[in-house]
Amino acid sequence: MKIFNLIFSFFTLFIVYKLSSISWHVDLGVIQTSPIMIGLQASSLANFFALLVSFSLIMISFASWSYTLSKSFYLLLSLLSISLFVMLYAEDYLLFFIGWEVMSISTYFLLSNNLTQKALHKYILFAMLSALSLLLALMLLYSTSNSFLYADAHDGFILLEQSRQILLGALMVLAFFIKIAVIGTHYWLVDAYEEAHDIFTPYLSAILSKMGIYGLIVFLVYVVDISSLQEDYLSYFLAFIGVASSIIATFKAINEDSIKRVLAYSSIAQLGYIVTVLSLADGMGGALYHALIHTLVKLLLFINIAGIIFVTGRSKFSTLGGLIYKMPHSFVMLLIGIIVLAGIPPLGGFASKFLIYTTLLDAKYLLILSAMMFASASAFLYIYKLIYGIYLGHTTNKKLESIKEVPFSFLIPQYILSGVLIGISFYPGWLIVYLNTILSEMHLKALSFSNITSITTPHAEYNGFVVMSAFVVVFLVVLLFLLRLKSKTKEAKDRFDIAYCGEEPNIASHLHYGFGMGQELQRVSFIALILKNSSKYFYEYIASQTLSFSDVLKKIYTGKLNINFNLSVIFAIILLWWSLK
Amino acid sequence: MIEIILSYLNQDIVIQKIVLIGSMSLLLIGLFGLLTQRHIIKVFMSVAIMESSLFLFFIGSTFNKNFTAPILGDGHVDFIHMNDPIPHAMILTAIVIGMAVLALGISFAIEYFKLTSITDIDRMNEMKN
Amino acid sequence: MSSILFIALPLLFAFCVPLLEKLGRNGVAYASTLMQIFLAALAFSFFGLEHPQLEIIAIAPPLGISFVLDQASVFFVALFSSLMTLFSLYYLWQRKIKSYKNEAKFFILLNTLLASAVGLVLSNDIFNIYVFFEIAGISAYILTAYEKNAKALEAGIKYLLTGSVASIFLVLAIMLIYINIGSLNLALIAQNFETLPYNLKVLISLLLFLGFGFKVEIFPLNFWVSDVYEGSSTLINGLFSAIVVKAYLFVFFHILYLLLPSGEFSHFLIYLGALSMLVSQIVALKQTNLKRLFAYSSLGQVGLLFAAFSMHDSDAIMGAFFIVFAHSIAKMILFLSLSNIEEHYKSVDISILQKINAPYLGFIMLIAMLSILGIPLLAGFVGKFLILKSMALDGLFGAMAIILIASLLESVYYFKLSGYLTQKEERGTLLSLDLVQKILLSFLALLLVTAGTAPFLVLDFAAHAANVMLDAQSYIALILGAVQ
Repeated sequence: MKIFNLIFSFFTLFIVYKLSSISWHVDLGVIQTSPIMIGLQASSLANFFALLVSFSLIMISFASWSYTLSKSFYLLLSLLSISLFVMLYAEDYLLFFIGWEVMSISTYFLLSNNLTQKALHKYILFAMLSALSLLLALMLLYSTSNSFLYADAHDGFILLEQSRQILLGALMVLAFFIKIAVIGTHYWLVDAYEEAHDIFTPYLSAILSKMGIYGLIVFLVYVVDISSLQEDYLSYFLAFIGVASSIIATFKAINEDSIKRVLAYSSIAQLGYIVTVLSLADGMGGALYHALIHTLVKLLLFINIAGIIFVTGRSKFSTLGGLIYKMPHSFVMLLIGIIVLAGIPPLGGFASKFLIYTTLLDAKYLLILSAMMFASASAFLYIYKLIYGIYLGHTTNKKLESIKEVPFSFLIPQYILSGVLIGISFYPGWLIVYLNTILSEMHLKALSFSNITSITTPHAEYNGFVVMSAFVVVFLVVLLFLLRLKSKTKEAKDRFDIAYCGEEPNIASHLHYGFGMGQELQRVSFIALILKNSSKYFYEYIASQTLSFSDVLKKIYTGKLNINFNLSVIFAIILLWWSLK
Repeated sequence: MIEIILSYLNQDIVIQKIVLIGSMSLLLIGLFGLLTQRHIIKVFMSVAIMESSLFLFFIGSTFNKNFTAPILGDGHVDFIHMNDPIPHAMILTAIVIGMAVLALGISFAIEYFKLTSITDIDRMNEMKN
Repeated sequence: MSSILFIALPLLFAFCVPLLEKLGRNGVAYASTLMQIFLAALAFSFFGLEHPQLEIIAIAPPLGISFVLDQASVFFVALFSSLMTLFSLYYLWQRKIKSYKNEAKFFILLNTLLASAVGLVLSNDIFNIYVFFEIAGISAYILTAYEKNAKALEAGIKYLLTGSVASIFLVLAIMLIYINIGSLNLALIAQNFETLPYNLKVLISLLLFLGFGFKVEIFPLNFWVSDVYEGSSTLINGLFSAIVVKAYLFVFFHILYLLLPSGEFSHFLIYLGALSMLVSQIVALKQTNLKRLFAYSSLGQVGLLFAAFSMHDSDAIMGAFFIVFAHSIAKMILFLSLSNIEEHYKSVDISILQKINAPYLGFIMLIAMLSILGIPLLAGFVGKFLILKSMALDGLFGAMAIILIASLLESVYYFKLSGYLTQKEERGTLLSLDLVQKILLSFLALLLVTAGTAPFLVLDFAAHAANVMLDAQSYIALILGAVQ
C-alpha cells in the first residue's frame, strides 16, 4: 500500500506536469431539458496549484513510510487528491463545488480516526457551513448568468442587484474563509490540526488551506473581476480582516504549549498575509508567491515535527528541549524552515514578503502595511520558541537523553523541501517568470522582472543570489568558529548540572525556557484582550441557543393527540380565514 | 297549523337548508368532542359522529324527493326521474370503511387497556422522548 | 400485460393466504416473495413505454374506473414493488433471527399495503383514491400495532385517530366535488374545476390539503409521526418511510397539478415545505432514540420533497424524483440495518452506534446517511441540486436559505452518528450479517452511488416523467379521449 501510494503520487505529478505543458479541455455532461455545461480545463492558475498538490503528496508519501497506516487511509488520501484535481481543473462552479464537498468529506474520514468526537464534529460542521454557503452563492450567481461556467460568471454578477451582489460576496467569502481559517472562522482548525494524524497535518496545512486561497482567487478574478474593481468595500474588508487575522493568530500562537497548535496558528497568520494582499489586483503575484513559499515551509515544519513526535512521543514544548545534538539533521532543517517562515532576508520567505509589502505600499495601504509588519515582527516570538523549545536549552526529561535521529523517511522530504527553498532563495526571479505567465492569463498586471537572480520593484531591487552567497560564506565561517569553540566548552554531567540562582534544581523544577513561554505577554493589556476573547464563545452561544430552541419545539412533538388536533384545527381555521375572499 | 309547517318543510330548499345546518352542527359537535374529550372511546365516538354527519350531508344534498330509487321495475322502464345511485354507493362504501376503522381502533383501545389500564388519551405517553 | 395486475395480484394473494398456509410455515412467505419479484419485473418491463397506458375496468371512464400508467407513475410503481420485494427478501433471512407472530397475517398486510400504494398512484378516480387511501391506512395501522405491546398499540391508536380525522376531510372534499361537478373522474373534475366559484375552489383545495396533509406529514399536521415510528417495529418503519409517505405524496401532487395547473398556492406550499424541513431538523437535534431521529429526518426530507413538488416546474420535479429514489433507498438501508442492530444489541439509543461492531453494516449506513445529506457523488445530491437550481431560476432565495440551513442542522446529527460509527471505540460483540442480507444492502447502496455518479443515465427518463406528471392537459385528453 505504501509503495502503491508513492507510485500514485509520482504518477499524479507526472500527469499534472504533462497536463500543464499542453492545452486541453474536456466537455462533460449536458442535461437536455436545461443545459448545464460542465467541463475540465487547465488554466495556468490551476496548474500551479495542482503542481503544489502533487508535490506535497509525494512529500507526504515519503514521510508516511515509517508509520503503519490502514488501507483506508491511503484510499481516502487518493480520493482526496483526486477531488482536489477535479476542483482545480474545473472550468465551472458545479464541478468546483463537487470537488469542494468531496474534499471536505474525505478529509472528515481521514480525520475521524484520530480526532476526538468534539473536534471532529466541529470540523465537519464548519466544512458543511462552508459548502452550503458556497452552494447558495453559486445558485445566486446561476439565477442571472444561467450557467455555472467561470466564463459567464462575471456577466451574471453584474446583472445581480446590488444587495444580492453583497450577499453573494459575503457567502463566497465566508465559504472560503472557513477553509482558509481566517480568524473568527478558525474555531475548527486548531483542534483539528493538533489532533490529526501527524502525517496528515502537513497536508491539511500545506494544501487544504490553500484550496480556500484558490477559491478566493477564482472568485475575485472570474466573478468580481478584481482588476476592474475601484475603491471597493470588498477590498478594504479583505485587507482589514487578513491583517487582523495575522495579528491575532500570531499572539495566540505565542501562548500555546503544543507544537502543532503553534504551527496551526502560524498557518492562520501566514494565510492572513495572503488574504490581505489578495485585496489588491496587483497583489496576485505576491499572494501566489507567498502561497508557494508557505506550502513548502509548512510541509517542512510539520514533517519535522512529525519526526520529533514519532521519535519522542511528545508534542509539547514543556516536555522537549535540548535535542540539537541528538538530531542535528532535523535541527538544521527546522532552522531553514523557521528562517523562511520568519521572512528574513537570506532565504526565500523574504522575497514573498518583499512583494507583499511593496504592493501595499503602492496602494497606499499604510496602516495595513504597518500592522502587517507588526504581526510579522511579533511572529519572531513564536518562531524562536519553535527552535528553542525543541532543540535548544536543557532536556526536560531523562528519557530524552537516549533519543536518536529521526528515521530517514522523515529526512528525505525535508532535504528535498529545504533544497527547493534554498534554490528559490538563490534564484527568486525564476519564480517571477513562472508567475507572470499565470498573471497574464488572468489579465492582471505582470510583476517586473530584470534577471533570474533578483526581484525588482519600482522602489528597490533584492538580489537573492548575492545575499544568499554572502550569507552562506558568513554562515560557514561562523560554523567553523563554533565547532572549534565547542571542543573547549565544558560538557554538563547531567541536566541538573546548572547554576540556578543559588538553588538546587530538582526533578519538579522546570528547567526549560519553553515551559510557560508567552505567559508574560498576558500582562500586556492589548495582548491579554486578544488571548481572553475567542470566537469560541460566539459559536457555543449559537449552539446552545439552537439546542434550547430544539428543546422547546420537542415539547410539541410529544405525540399528544390533543395538541395534535388542536393545532391542526387552528391551522385549518387560519388557512380558511386567510384564503377565502 | 301543522299542515302549514309540514308543507313549508316539504319545500326542496328548506330540506336542503335543514340537511346542511343539521349535518354541519353534527360535524361541529363531533369536532368539539374530538377536541375536548379525553376518554378514548368518546374520542372514537366523536370521530364516528363526524363521519355520520358527512354521510347525512351528502345523501341529503343529492337526494331529490320527487325522484324514485334507481331501480327498474314497478312500471319504471327508463332511468329518468330517479335519484343518482352513485352517492348511495359511495356512502355505503364509506360507512363500511368507517366501521372497519372504528372497530379496529376500538380493538386497539381494548388491548391497550388490558395492558396498561389507561383510557385517557392524555395519559398515553409510553414514548417519552 | 396489464397494469391492473399490480393491484389485483397482491389483493388476490391476500385472499389466498388461508390456502397457502396449508403449504406449511414457509409457503406464504415464499409465495408472497415470488409474486412480488414477478411484480417488480413486470414494473420494469413497463419502463420503455412510449405512451401512457389507460386500463379500463368493465366500463369506460368517466363512469367506470380506470388506471393510468404513464412515465411518472411507472417510476413510483417500480420503486414501490422493487423496494417491497427487497424488503420481503431481507425479511426472509431476518426471520431466522426474529420472526413476527402469525406470519401469514403479516404477509397479507404487506401485500395489501403494496396494492393500495400502487392503487393510489395509478387510480384516476377520486373515490377510488379514497378507498386505497383507507386500505393503505388500515394496513399501516395494523402493521404499526403488530407487536401488540403497549408502545405499539398506543402508536397504532394515535395513527388510527389522525388517519380517520384525515379521511373525514378527504371525504368532505370528495363530496363537495361530486355535488358541484357531478363526477368522480379526475379528468372531468380537472376540466370543470376552473368553472367553480373561487371560494368553493379554495374550500375544496383546503380540505384536500388537510386530508392529505396528515398523511404526507407536512409541518403543522405531523406531530403524530415520531410516535408512530417509535412505537412500531423497526422493519416496518422502513416501509412507512420508503413507500407509504411517497405514495400519498405522489397522489396529492398528482391531484394538485390537475386541479390547480397554474399553481395558485405554490408559494405558500413551497414555504410550508421548507418550514416543515427546518422545524423537523431542529427537533431532531436533541433526539436520542434512533428510530425517532430517523423519523424526524424523514419528515425533513418529505418537507423538501413537498417544496420541490410545489414548484410546478419540471426541473424541480425531476429533482424530487431523485430525492424520492434516494431517500426511499437510504431510509430502507438505515431501517433494515437498524433492525439488525436492535436485534443484536437490544437498543436503539444513538449511543449504541458507538458500541456496534459491524464494519460492513456501518459502511453501508454511512453511504445512506451521506446520500440523505446530499453529499456529491451520491443520489441525494443530484436531487437537491436540481431542486435548488430551479428555485434559483424562480428567485426563491428565502426558501433556498431555509432549506440550506435545515441541511446544515441535518448534518449536525447525521455527522454525530457517523462520528460514532467511524471512531475508534470499545466495540461490543461482532454482528455478522447473512450473505444474502449483505448482498441486498450492498445492492441498495450501489444504486445510490450509481445514480449519484452517473445521473445522466437516468436524467432523460426523469425529465420525461416530470413533464408527464406536470402535463394536466394530455392526462385529461388521454382519459376523456377514451370515451369516444
